[in-house]
Amino acid sequence: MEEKELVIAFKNGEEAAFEALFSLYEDKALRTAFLLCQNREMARDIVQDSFVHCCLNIGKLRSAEAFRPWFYRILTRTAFTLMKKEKKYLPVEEFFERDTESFADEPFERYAEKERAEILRREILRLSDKQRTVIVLHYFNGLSVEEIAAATGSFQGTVKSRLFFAREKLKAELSKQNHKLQGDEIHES
Amino acid sequence: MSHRQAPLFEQEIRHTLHQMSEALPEDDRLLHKIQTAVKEEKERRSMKKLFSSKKFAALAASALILIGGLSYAAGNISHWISVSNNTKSYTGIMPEAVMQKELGKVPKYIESFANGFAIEESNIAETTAYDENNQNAGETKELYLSYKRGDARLTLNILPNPAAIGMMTEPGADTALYKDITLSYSKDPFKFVPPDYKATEEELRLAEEGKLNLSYGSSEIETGFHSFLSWIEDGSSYQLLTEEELSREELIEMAKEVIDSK
Repeated sequence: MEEKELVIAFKNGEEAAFEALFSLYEDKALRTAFLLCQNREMARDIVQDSFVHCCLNIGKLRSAEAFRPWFYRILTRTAFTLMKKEKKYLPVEEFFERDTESFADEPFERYAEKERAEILRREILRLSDKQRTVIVLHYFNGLSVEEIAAATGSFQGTVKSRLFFAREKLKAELSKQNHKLQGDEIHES
Repeated sequence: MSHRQAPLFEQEIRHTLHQMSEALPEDDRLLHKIQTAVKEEKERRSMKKLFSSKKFAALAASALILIGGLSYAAGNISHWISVSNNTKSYTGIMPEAVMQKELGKVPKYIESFANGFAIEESNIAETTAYDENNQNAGETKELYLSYKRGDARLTLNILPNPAAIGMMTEPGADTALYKDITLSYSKDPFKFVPPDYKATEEELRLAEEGKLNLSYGSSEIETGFHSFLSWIEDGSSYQLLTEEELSREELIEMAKEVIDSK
């Protein structure tokens, strides 16, 4: 059964349809919640509350095709509400179990790649909640600008703007690191 | 970064996000937790609705005789509680396929009555009978149809299988006959009181006798009259219920429309 048919069946009160939709969305929802709040327990709470809200309000969903942005709207709102309420953000530095192994014996390219990934992780988490949300919904969940606008209750222009400035921030930090690494390489050689 | 490099950069973002998200172990109990939470919340909301909505006030009363002298509990049934299901609530009339699935039959119904009452929402409720020890003594499903005319409201409650919950039916004192169907009319006082209200002995006696619908759950004491018109057709129980100033004759005309439908 396709997602649209599942949503229609879910709207008609079929428990099995909800379970199938849950299976479709569970993993992505957990990961998305975790990316937004950076806390495992809170991510589970966000997903649980989101699905509960989804079940209780499925009758209000007008179009079965709109389920995905509607669900992510619930998820992101629930995430913001819980994050604000619990204030359980892990400090960015604690989130990373930074690889402490020595890079000394690795080829320079491998070392640079790891450094870039590390910087990207750190800077994604340092984005504002709103910027991180659009980055996560777009690049992780694959939502279009239009769908993100529906999910976040924003204008499409606002979503584009947040995506643009978020990308620029990430690029700027990576660019700094590139210059540093190139300097290190020249210095070592 | 040049324009040509942008897609690569975006791939890096995707890759990084996927790596960042991999740290979350699965929780096998999550679905069960969600289903439990949904069930609890639905019950909480339904009970709140049940006890705060005047239209269900009479059905929430734990009196032995509920519906204007027509219905009474068989054997050791003490009371009934109806819990509406929010996922089975529809604006307007629900599809007949849903009625068939939930109730096992499609009862007679009207979307718009000639006197102006029009369907507002329809809902499937699950009604449980409880014995004197508060133990489950039978369950069945009911169809609630809520109608509105301006600010006035009226409910048509259809119980396809009243015997399943020990609800026995027989005509009340004030009856009319239409197409060999006995319509039973009554108008009873109700008192809607806060949860901690202590009923007087007189009120308890009247409630026991079915002369007063004493319902708990309001923020302040409210009193008024419920008008009922009930009948049985093809084994199903139909009950028109309102607090509005509708005459006996007007309710009977509405019942005739339902009986003549289809």
